Amino acid sequence: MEEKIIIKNDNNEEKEFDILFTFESEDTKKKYVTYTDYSKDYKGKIKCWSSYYEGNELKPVETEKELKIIDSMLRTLSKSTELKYSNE
Amino acid sequence: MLKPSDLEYATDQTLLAHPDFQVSLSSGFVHQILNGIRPTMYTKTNGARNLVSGMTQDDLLKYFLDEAIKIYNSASYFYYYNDAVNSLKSDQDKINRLLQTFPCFGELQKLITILSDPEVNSALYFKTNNNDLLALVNSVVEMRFSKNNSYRKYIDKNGLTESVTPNGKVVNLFDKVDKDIIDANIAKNVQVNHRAINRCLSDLMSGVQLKNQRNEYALDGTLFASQDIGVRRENQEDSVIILTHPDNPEFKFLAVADGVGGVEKGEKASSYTIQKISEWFTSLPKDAFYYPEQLQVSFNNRLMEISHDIYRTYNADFNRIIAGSTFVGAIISEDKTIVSSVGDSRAYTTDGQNLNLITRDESEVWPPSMPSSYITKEVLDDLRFNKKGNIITRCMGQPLQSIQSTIIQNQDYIRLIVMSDGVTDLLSTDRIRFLSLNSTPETLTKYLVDESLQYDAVRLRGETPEYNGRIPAGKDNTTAAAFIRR
Repeated sequence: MEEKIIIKNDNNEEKEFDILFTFESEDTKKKYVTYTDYSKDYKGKIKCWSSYYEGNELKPVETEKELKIIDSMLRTLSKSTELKYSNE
Repeated sequence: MLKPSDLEYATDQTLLAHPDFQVSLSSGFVHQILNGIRPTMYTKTNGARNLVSGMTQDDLLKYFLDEAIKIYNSASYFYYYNDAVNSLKSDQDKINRLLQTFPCFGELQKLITILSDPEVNSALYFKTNNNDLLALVNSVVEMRFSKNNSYRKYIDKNGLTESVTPNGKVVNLFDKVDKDIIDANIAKNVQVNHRAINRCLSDLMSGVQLKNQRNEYALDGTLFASQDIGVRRENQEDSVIILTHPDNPEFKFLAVADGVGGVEKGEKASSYTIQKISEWFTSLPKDAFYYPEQLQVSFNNRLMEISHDIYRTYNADFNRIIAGSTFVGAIISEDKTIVSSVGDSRAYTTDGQNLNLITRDESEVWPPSMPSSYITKEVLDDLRFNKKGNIITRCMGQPLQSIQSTIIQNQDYIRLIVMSDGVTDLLSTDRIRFLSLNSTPETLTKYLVDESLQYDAVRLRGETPEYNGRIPAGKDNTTAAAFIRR
């Protein structure tokens, strides 16, 4: 799988993000990508963003249903990370 | 390294690790197939390889998860009820006896912790964590198919009880597995970048930015809601719902809950409140539509129960609010509307000319002793700037003994709006009135939220020791929901 994604901001500046996971939804027929630059929020947690993509174009996630799927993925992956970390 | 999601591969790997099982396969199974005998006839003697052939991936996953639960349940039963174990004196001897019989118990405990976590989709977890999947399959094969293991019948007999999870909760994990498998199926071709995930080891992903966007909802042409995280908050702590009753679309419900800022679990309190009250509404008999007075009592009782739930779960042990939320909600019945609230989220109605505030803020600057007649438009607008204005005196998460509630006639209004203080702190009464009267049904909540994000509120009398001079736009999570009579 691709591990990096480059996104341009409003000022046309490019920024590189690491892809955390991708998946396709049978419901929405879209392909989704969740990515991070490892920056942290005010609670010290790593921020991540999600979009769906068509070709090379990223588009914003629009519905609560889509968010719910991504949220479930994130929680599950976060939990696996947490469990592994606590076992080390 | 295992291929992602490849359960059959995991099974093969497991079988290779069990030579005795391989022997049983090679000596009998292949010979029987060559002689045209259906493999299903040999499930008991030939075990997993036979059993899994022809299963879909989901069947296979369900099989292994269910079996793991059964083995875990049986091991727990063995530990607590087996005479040989009970006759041992020390706990360590008992555990040793358990591990002699169920050598995989330690591994299973870890897996059951994952399975029982309500925030983890177990199917998704095992499809994306190959090592744990392998451990799961390995445990099951070892206990169920190893020739040397004589506990198959014991597991069949005692495995279907409810599980006591490692944290002491009693749950039906079989149901959760079923649900998780269905939910996980929404996502296909999952690819995980484990290198990036591993880099997040010490700092877990927050995922908060997933919610850092606008949400718009519409239902039935009469119910609308808009929600924005605002520009200064990292979390969306407001929750909102618009619903029609499943058996009667004229029977409607809308509500907003605003997680109390500055406490650890405001978000959980608001989402729990909205989730539970929504479940209550949808489970009402459709006849409740015709009995608003009874419905009001039931509505408020349910709110108090939910508040007590939050109190017991989060706050009772701390003598302070760990999880708290405001609430404002309205139920539209046949000819009357019930409005109930806790804290400082508000409900307004408009009859096409006037804007009427239906609720009283339960806050420090608006004590119960203050007569409603004192709350003029000017006073209301000025209270927004009071430095104690956001300190509420009652919230969901306290052991509430009463709920502020009123019944209004449906004929007395054409629009009803419920809002968090992300809107009402920013917009003046006149501005809310203007938007309420002049927005289309589809744009009303959108404009209320938009304006709260775009324009600072400025106090005409300027800043004083007790009052702020300005409230910055988008200072808080911002939510509005409306019922528009057609």
